[in-house]
Amino acid sequence: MTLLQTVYESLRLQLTGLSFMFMVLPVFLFLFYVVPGRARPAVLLVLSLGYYLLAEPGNLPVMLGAVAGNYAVLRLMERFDHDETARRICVGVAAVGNILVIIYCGTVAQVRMLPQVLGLQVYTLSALSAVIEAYRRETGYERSIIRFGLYCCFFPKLYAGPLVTCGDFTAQIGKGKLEVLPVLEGLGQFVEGAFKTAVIGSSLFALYRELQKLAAAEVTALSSWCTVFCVAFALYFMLDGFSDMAQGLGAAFGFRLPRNFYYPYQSRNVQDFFERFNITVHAFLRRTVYTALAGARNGPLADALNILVVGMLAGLWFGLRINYIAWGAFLALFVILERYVYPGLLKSIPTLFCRLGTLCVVLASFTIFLGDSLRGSVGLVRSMFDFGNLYNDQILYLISSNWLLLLISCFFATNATSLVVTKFRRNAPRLATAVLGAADFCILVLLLALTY
Amino acid sequence: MPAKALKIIFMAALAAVPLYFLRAVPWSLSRLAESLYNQTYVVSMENKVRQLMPMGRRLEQIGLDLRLLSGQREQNGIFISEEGLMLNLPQADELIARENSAAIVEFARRLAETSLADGSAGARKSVFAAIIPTAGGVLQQNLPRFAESRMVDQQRLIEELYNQLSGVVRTVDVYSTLQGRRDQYIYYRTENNLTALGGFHVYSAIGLRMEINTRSRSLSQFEIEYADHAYYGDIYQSSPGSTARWGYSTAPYRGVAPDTISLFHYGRSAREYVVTHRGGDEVKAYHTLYPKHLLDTGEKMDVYLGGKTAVVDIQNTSSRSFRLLVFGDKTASAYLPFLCNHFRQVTLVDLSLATSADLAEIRPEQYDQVLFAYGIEEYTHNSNISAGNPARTIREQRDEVP
Repeated sequence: MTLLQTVYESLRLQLTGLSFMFMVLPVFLFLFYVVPGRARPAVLLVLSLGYYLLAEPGNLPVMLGAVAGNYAVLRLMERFDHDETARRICVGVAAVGNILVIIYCGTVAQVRMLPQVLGLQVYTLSALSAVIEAYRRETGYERSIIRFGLYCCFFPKLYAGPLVTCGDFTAQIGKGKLEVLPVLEGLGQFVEGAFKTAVIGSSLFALYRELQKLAAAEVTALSSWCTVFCVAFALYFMLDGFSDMAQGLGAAFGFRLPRNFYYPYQSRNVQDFFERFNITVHAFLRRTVYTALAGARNGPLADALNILVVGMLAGLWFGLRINYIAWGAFLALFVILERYVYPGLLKSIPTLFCRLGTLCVVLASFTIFLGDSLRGSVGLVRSMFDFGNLYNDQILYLISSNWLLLLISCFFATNATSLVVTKFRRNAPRLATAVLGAADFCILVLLLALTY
Repeated sequence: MPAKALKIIFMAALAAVPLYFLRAVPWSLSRLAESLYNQTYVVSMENKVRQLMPMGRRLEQIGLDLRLLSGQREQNGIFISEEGLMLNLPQADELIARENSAAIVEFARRLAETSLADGSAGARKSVFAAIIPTAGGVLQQNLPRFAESRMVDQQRLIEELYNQLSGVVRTVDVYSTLQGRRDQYIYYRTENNLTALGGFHVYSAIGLRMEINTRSRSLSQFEIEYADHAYYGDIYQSSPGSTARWGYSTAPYRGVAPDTISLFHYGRSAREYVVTHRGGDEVKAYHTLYPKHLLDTGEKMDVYLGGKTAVVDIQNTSSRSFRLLVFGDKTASAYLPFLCNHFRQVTLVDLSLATSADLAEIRPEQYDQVLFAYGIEEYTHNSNISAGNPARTIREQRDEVP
C-alpha cells in the first residue's frame, strides 16, 4: 500500500493541513496576485518550490535535477531540430532517464521502507510528456525555464495529478488575472477535495487498517468484502480528493486543470472504468505508449498485447510492486475480452447490471491490488467466498461503528449530487452560486470539525 | 458591489487570515532552523494553528457529536457510552507480564528462604497477588453492541497470569467478586480506577484470602461522606475534546455524568491514623486517611491517603500487631483505606516511583504478609514490577545478617 500510505501519512503535513489552509495558501494567493502579471509565473514557480521545500526538503534536488535534465533535452532537441536521428535519440534519452529515475527512487523508497517521493511520477511524466509533444511537433519547444519548471512543478498537482499536456498548461500561463468569484469557486472545490481526502478517504483507510488487524481466525467473508471495499473506495476518495484540490487550487491561481476521476465505480464496462479512473494518466499512456506500439493497427493479437502493456503500466503508476502490475494486467484482460471476445454481450444487458458486474470485477481486482503478495491475494479471494464463515461480532461491530461512512462513500461515489448541482446551475445560476458557496462553507466547517 | 472593491476586500482577507495565525510561527531563527532541520515545523505549526483556531472547542464538539452520531462509540481507544467512558485494554504484552510475574515469584521464593534462615514461621509471611480488571472487563453491559468481541478477555488473562504465580504466591479472585457486583457503582465513569465501593469489594476478596475477619466490617457499618459530586477523571481528561486540552470546563460528551468521590469512615471504633509519605528526601504526614484539603489544592484523587508517593506508611492506634507490605499502583487508593483497619502498620510501595534508596529502607521480613495488587493494564503493559525488582530488598537484608 505504498501510494495509499504516502497519501495517508502526508495528510497531516500537506494540502489538507490547517497550517496550509490558513497560513500558507492565503500568503501564496496574496503574493501571486499582488505582483504584476508578468512576474506571476516566476512567483508561482518560486512558491511551488517553496511548498516542496516545506513538504519534502530532502527530495527537492531530485525534482530540480529531473526538471533541469528534461529541459536540457528539450533545448538539445530544438538545436538539432532538422536532424531526426538526434531528435529520436533525445526523446529516447528522456524516456529512459525519467523511467530510471522513477525506478531508482521507487526502489530506494521500498528498500528503506520510506514513503514514495512526493510528486515523482507527476513531474517526471509531465516533463517527459513535454519532450514527446515537442518531438511529435504537437507543440513548440518550451524555451522558458520558468514556464517549463512551473508546468512540471506546479504544487497542487504533485500529489496525484492530473497530468496535463505541456501545450495546454503553458497556454494558460500569464492569464492569471484576479477574478474573485472564480478564485472563491476554486477554493470551494479545494475544500470539497480536502473533505473527500481527509474525511472520507482517510476514514475508510483507517477502517481498512482496523480490518487488517483482525487475526486470521477472526476473518470472515463479510470482513474480506469490507476490506476490499475500503481499499477501493479509500483509494478513489483520496486520489479524487487530491485531484479536486489540484483543480480548485489551479482555478484559484488561474489555471483550468482537467478532471482525473469521473465516478469510476459506476462504469458500464472495464474499458469505461479506465476512461473514468485516473483519466489523465491513462490518456498519457494511450497517447505515448499505446500509440508508439501502433495501437490496434497490427491486428487483434498485437492490440491485446498493447492493451496488456498499457494496463500494467497503469498499475505501475501506484508504485513498484508486482501486485500493482498484476492489478493493471487483470483489468486489461477484461478490456481485451470486452473488445474481442464478447463485444456485443454488454450492449444486450440492462445498464444497471452492466454497472454492477463491472463494479464486481473492479472490486475483485482490488484483491490483487492490496495483497502483500499474490499468494495473499488468493487467500483474500478464498475468504471472500467462504460463506460458511459469513460474519462474526468483530465485523458487525466495525460495520455498526462506520455505517454512516460506508453509506456516504457509496452515495458520493455516484454522480447523483453532480446531476443535481448541474441542473441547479443551469436553472438558477445566481442562486446556485450562492447556495453552493454556502454549502462549501459548511463542508469547511465539517472538515475542520472532523479533522480536529 | 463594484469589482474593484471586492478585489480589495478579498486581498485584505488574504492578508488578514495568515496575520491572525502568525503567532503560530516560531520567530526565533534558531528555533525555526532547528524545526526545519528536524522536520517538525509543520507538526508544531499545525498544533499551534489548531490552538489559535476561533471556536476550536465548538468545532471539536461538533466533530465528536458527528462521530458519535455516525456510530463511532470508540474513539482513541476509549468506549463512550451514556454510562461512562471505558478504556479498551490493548492486547497484553506477554513478555512484560511474564517478567512481572517472574519478579513476584522471585520475591516470594527469597522471602520464604529468608524466613527459614531466620527461623521465623514461613506461613506467616504469605505473599498474595491480586490483579484488578478494568471497567471494560467487568461492566460488559455498558459496552456498545458487539464491542465485547473487541475486548481482551480479562478473566482468562488474569487466570493465565495467576498460573504464572501458582505454587508460590496466593492469588485473590478479584474478577469474580467485581463481576458479581457489576450492577453497582464499582468503577468511576470518567476515571480508570475503582470507586471506593469497588475498593470495598476488592478489600473483602483480599481479606477473605488473607483470612482476616472482614465480616465484622460490613458495608452498613461505614459512614459514607460524599466529598465531591462533580469529578471528571483521567479518561475524561485524555478523551477527545477534553477539558485539559482546552482549559474549558464543559464535558466533551454531554451524556457522561461526572463522578462522585465518596469517603468511607468506619463508624464503630474511631482510630487515629498517621499516613506518612516518603519519596526521595521529602517526607510528609497526614493524620487522617482522607486529607480533604487536597480536594481543593491538588488532584482530587489525592484525597485518598494523600495521593501517590514512592512509599506510603499507614500506622494506626490498633492493638493488633500485624503488619502488611503492599506493592501496588493507583488502585491501592480504593481498597487500602479499608484494609489498613486490620493492621497496625501498612506500607504501600509504588515501584514506579521508588528509588533504590527508598527500597533499601523496606524490610519485608519485618512484615507479616505481603500483597502485590495491580491493575491489569499496569501489570501487562508496564515493567515497573520487574524493573523495580522487589526481591533485591530481601537480598540486601540477608547480606546484612552476620
